[in-house]
Amino acid sequence: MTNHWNDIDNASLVFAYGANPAENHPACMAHINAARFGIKNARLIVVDPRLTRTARQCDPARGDMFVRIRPGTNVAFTNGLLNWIFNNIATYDATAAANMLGWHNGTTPASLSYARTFQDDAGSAASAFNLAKLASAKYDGVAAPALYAGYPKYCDSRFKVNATGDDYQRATLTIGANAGYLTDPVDRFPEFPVIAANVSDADSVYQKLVAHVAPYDTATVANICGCTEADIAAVAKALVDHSRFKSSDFTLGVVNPTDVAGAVATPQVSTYKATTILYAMGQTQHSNGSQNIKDLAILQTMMGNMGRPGGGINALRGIHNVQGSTDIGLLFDSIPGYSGNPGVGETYAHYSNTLFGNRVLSLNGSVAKDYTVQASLGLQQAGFQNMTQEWFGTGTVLRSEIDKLYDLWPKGNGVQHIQTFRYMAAGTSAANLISAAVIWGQNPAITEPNQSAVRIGLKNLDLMVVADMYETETAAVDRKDGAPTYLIPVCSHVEEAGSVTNSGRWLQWRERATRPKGNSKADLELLLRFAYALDKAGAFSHMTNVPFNGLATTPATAGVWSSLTPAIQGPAYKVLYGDKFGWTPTDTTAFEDLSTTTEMWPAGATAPVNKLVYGSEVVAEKVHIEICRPLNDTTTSGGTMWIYSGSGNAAGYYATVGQDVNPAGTGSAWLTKARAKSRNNSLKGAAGTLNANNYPRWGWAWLLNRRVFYNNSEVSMDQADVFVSPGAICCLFTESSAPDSGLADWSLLYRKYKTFADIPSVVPAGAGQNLASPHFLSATLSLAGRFPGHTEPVESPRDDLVATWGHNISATRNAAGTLTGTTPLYWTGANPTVPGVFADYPLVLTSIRCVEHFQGGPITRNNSWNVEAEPVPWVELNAADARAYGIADGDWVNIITARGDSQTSQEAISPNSALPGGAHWARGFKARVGVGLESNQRVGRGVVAIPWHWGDKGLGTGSRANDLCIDAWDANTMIPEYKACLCKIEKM
Amino acid sequence: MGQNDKDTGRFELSRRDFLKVGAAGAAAAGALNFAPAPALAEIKLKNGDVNVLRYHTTCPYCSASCGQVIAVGDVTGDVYDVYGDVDSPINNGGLCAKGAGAYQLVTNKRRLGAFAGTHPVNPVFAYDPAYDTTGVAYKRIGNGAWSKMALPTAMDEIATGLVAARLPVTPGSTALSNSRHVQFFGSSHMNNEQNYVYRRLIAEFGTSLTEHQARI
Repeated sequence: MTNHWNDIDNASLVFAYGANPAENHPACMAHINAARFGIKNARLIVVDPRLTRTARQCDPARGDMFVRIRPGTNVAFTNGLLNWIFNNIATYDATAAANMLGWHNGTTPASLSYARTFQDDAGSAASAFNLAKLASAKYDGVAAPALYAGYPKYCDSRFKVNATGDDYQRATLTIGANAGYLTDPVDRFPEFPVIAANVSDADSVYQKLVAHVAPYDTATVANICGCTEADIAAVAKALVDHSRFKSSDFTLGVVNPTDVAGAVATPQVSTYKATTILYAMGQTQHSNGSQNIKDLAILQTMMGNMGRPGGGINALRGIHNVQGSTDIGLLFDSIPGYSGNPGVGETYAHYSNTLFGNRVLSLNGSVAKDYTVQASLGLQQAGFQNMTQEWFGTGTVLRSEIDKLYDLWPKGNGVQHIQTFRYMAAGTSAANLISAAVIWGQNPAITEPNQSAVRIGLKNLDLMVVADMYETETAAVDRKDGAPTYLIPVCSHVEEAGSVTNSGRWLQWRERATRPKGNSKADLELLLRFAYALDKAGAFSHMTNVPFNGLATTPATAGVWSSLTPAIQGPAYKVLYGDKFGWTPTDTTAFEDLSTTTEMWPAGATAPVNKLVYGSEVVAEKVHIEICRPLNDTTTSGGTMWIYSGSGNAAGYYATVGQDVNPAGTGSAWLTKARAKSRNNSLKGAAGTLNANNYPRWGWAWLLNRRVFYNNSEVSMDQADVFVSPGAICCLFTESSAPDSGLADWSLLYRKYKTFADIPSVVPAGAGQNLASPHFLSATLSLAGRFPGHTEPVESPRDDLVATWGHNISATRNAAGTLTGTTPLYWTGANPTVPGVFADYPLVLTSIRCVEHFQGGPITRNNSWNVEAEPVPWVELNAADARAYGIADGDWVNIITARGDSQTSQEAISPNSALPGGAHWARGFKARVGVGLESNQRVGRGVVAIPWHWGDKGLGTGSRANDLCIDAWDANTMIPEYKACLCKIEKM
Repeated sequence: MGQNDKDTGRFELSRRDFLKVGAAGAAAAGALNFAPAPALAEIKLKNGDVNVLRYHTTCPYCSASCGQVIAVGDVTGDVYDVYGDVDSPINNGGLCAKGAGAYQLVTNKRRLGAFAGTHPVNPVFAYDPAYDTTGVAYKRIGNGAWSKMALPTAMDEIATGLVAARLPVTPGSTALSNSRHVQFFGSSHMNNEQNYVYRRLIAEFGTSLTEHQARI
């Protein structure tokens, strides 16, 4: 989320687009209703294939709307909204139209503190783009009057796109007195984007976007989405009415939130307008999920809703700590803090250059930074260096020897989750056969798509380890003869301490309420025991190169650690875990008997007090401090995770630079060891300020306790602005296909934007910008998808639309960014996925959730209360389809897709008493069907919906949706296309 | 709610309470407010508990992170209740049908190794005081039956097996620094610190084969 749950109260329009919070995030629905039935009198618009519980709350008398669209058509609908707005805003609302243009033409304020700052070609100094300097700006030595009034303040809509459409137009920018740009590196910025005088310039990003969405007229979009043209216009009008451009606080001048100074309108007045977009799996679980989200970002940026209370694009995440586990990078292409894995053959310096921060490599003749000097590093770079020290050594390792520790990072990515099961079954060669798996708190034997392939993989593992609270479907999965499965009992959430990060980026602390029950243990104890056992078995010998037992008292004689000054003495467990986190399995004190006195926030207290705590409460705080202390902590190595730095110390990122934003809590008690423990809710955020409903002292929010991201030149730039780089602006046109060039290299807080990996399969005639193409600026083979274009799901019911718009496919590029090949977004190796076709499978299948059960169900399907409330899965079918198939409400039906038969055990193919007529579980999804009344259709015609919570273990059992769902994925996120595939229905 | 559930194994009373809360949740959707659960019934202390201690946590389900209060006996450490935290600005004391039932997640006799007595799924999963000191793990070969073993023994077997499967890794800039043979999954169900230790351990083990629920 760019904003957070409580901030939804500030919205004047809630646009639930591919999300069903009434069912899946009930606390969110409460905040939506707070906005609807309080001073905001907010409207609710729901766009979804289903008449969800959220959609049912829409009240037409209040201006609420529900629009039903076909699964997998989000980009078409969003582009349709943009197109309607571009074409009609002037006649619909002249004031809004004028404000929209004025806003996009706006410039940063004159004050130096708001000016944008870039690294110039001298490399050693940051140059602030204040008015005095910009007054003499030149592009390639020619006067650049477009910059005289200031740098664009909000987004890149005024930047110029080059002739081939693959990048901005670029020139060498010189500013200030240094007109001799050819020789003087000071205030010289090679490859800087050329900025137009205003967004009416035909080359501007703004006009390119206008041209890109031109084909998405209401008739075309209505045909793709299955909605009416009036629906599109009505939603677009609402977006205009509830944009920044219609808000009482709109001004073309600078807006200073009361964070800084001055009086501004509070969002808690009826005339303050902002639209929040709430999205979830309805946007992400598609083979073009990334493009769906990017389109939402574009829509909100165009309408000025980013960086505003009550605005933003807000992902309603699915699991209590999925934000945190993602932040921490438990992904095949990620390490903590949204850094990628160091690449094969990549040097430390080159890798560091790919992170936020100043350049450490010389580029275009500039002066390189010394990457061993911490003060030379940007935030993400400093965090990575600290992490390298802590993970593979200690804080005493000299930074001049960081290359040696860097050698210990595994180089290159792992394998994305869908493919891992194919690698378990066969690998793509003997060198990458996955033969063992550790599955900690996850249930892939329910949650992964195309279970037939998943289960072949799990069966073939030589060794499988499962850690969980219950015997899950994964723990009990069919295994090959002789292969061991270990199952380790883990405690519940109330029995273990630690922080969790919610969807709004708030870190909150979980207290250890009691010791783990019976023989179950805390994850932290189990993980430390696991690390100890791995060390004993020689897992870390590549660091020490000396056996575990031999290193107990003597220095390493070989290996990386022995080459350091001074050498690190093992054993590895002691160095990496025992000394840092304070417990070793051989200690006489049991883990749960560890104790210490530390800052806690007891019930009813108004400030933290010192309290005696035990077990995981002791260890979790030590780990938290390693992660979150200041990046330049000089007493030891600094915080390892740059985005969380600041929770662990009052001083924030840098001990010498206060970054304690949201000072509404000034003077209040504020924890120093773990701000996540903070429980001061009296500081709601003053009603008359933009802090309203921010609760700045409840928990801690990354980055820097900034509760609303993307402030867009409205507050003085600080590190939180990295999320609007390059140049601290929102980018509509974000990708550079040339990996080692681009504006980002020249921003103080630079970041190289990853080129999206997907392109539409339909290539327009001719290269470059082809205005006649439906994929203008999105599909030429040499280009990445600049702006999102509609593509059909891998299994589509509309062959006519596939011919015009294509599917999404994956593109591979060489180092220069040139396209070298394309692949489908599904497995084509051994045991390939073969998409079904409309002729065989004439219905669209989408997977859904209910409030009583949770995800793959291993928790809730073991609780009798949940099982009693929702005992078995069901099928949702449209009444018209039911009539056509002769199916009545309550009938048993079987849903079948092109996926294979996942259940081959004797149990699965034997008649089951829970099913009618001696049927068995194997092949398909068997359940009773809900048809509903003509006026009350859950799903549209041609669509079938099934819940995905069920499986064959636990108190409540039933058909697995993922036997049916297609294992196709989004090329950027690798999220499966759970929301759209083809199926057929049979009456049992 | 629910204090009879643990001893009797029946859930009539607590179930009614639960359904009331569920109805309040449903009403919250209909009546358009997310009202706090009914006032907590007085807790009847048992088994020598003198006081009820109250701790804070967040709900283990969706990413709203609603505040929860855990009522715990001071002597036994038994959990008497898990209910909505009225101090939390996120939920103001309210919980949905799942969150309101979180008490049963904690006290569920189907949990592995947690509670003494007859385990409803498999006798091997009942709490066994013989493993108080060492901890316990369960193991099966192929599709055979689960058996109990001491946790350190299991950890050693697992570690030996994983190191053998991994094959040697060689520090440096080549692909040899990254083993392609052992996959790690999980978990959005763990706290940040636990995930951090896990991710650290995976990198030190010498692989980037890690995935979890974020892609699901």
